[in-house]
Amino acid sequence: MNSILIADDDKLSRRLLQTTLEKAGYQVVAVEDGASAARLLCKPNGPRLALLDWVMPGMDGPSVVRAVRSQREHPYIHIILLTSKQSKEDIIAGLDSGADDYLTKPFHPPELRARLRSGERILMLEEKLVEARETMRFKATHDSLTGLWNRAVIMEILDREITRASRDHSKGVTVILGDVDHFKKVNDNHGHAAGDAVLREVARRMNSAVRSYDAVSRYGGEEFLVVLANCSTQLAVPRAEHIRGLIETRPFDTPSGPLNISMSLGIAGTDDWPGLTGEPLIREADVALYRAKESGRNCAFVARPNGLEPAVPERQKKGPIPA
Amino acid sequence: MTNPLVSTIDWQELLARVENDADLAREILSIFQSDAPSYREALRHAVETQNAEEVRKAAHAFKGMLANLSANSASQMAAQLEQLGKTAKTAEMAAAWRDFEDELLRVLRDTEHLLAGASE
Repeated sequence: MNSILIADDDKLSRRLLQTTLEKAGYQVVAVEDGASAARLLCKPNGPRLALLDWVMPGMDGPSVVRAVRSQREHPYIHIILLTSKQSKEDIIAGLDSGADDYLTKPFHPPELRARLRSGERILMLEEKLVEARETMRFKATHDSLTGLWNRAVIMEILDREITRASRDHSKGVTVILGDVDHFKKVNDNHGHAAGDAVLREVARRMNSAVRSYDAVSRYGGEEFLVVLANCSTQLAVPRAEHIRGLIETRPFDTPSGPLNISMSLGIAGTDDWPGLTGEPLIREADVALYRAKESGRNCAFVARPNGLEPAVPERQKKGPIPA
Repeated sequence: MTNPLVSTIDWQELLARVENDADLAREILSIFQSDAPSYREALRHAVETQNAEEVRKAAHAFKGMLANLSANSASQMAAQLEQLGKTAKTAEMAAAWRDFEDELLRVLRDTEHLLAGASE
């Protein structure tokens, strides 16, 4: 926070500023022309405070300010113009260029420090606002219980991936829709705290089962949707089985003690369903999921255009796990 | 370091403005001492060639430096020259330059006195 850029073509003035600011604890970067100042201020992680001489050969102070302000998506920089100009018109022009403040030369050190403190307050306020915005952005895109993407975001991701797949001739996009078996019983028999613990742990286990470029979301109450990019239906089947195995493999720790949990899954991929957008593709996966529930739960079904087929042939299948 | 011979630089004001950092005050005096000749040449040349824009620029630079030194009278004279450059009153520039140069020489002499006094 306490790094500051000073730009002044007058060596004497630069020395005065630099020494005064260093004594006040600032880390000073001193340059002697406007172009260098603009370059350093536009760099990411550059100084957030700047003192610019108004009159400099080449790029003057207000031009530097305009260059800095034209940078979008850049953290705010508090800029003070140094001037021996005293006319109201000049001062208005300087502030209108985007400068935050001005100081007349020769400067008075206590005033300079006070104006910098005022600038730092503004920067701190900006940081707080950015932080709050990021928190809001996270909340708007994630499920608060599990921290997974929420439904609105996963739909965007899915549609984007489908569009990309059709453009890039990839293996396609496959969705896996998973539903926790007998979740209502968990809530009814063990309480909502246990139910929440189960959902969080399901989220954790599912997240651990996917690649960094796949997306996992909480789609509904106890429904989870996985979007596998560049993944054929054929390749998605063992992935769904892997998820199913991770859920059933060991008991879930809950405030009501360990619980055995299983998941039923439905799979549908764009290689089988060319031309489908996100929602209809999920509907196909949902039909397969329904079939998995029907056939005893704790299993996965694939939605093919010519019918539903189990992920694992009948004879290898395990029985359901009671909740 | 008060020197009765020094009349153009308000040493006490300068010292107060650098918050009694005498080393810093001396440092800027010596920067002025080494930089002034080239600025002086630039201004002289601009006046002789009646280049109003260059007079404005060079006088502006002097105005700032001299104000920082608390050479207040010289700084005001530089401001007048800057104004003449700005309004392109070339006829009045030569006389204003002569007055300014005289004052500038006194400032340079005082700078020397102050820097010499420092080493005593």
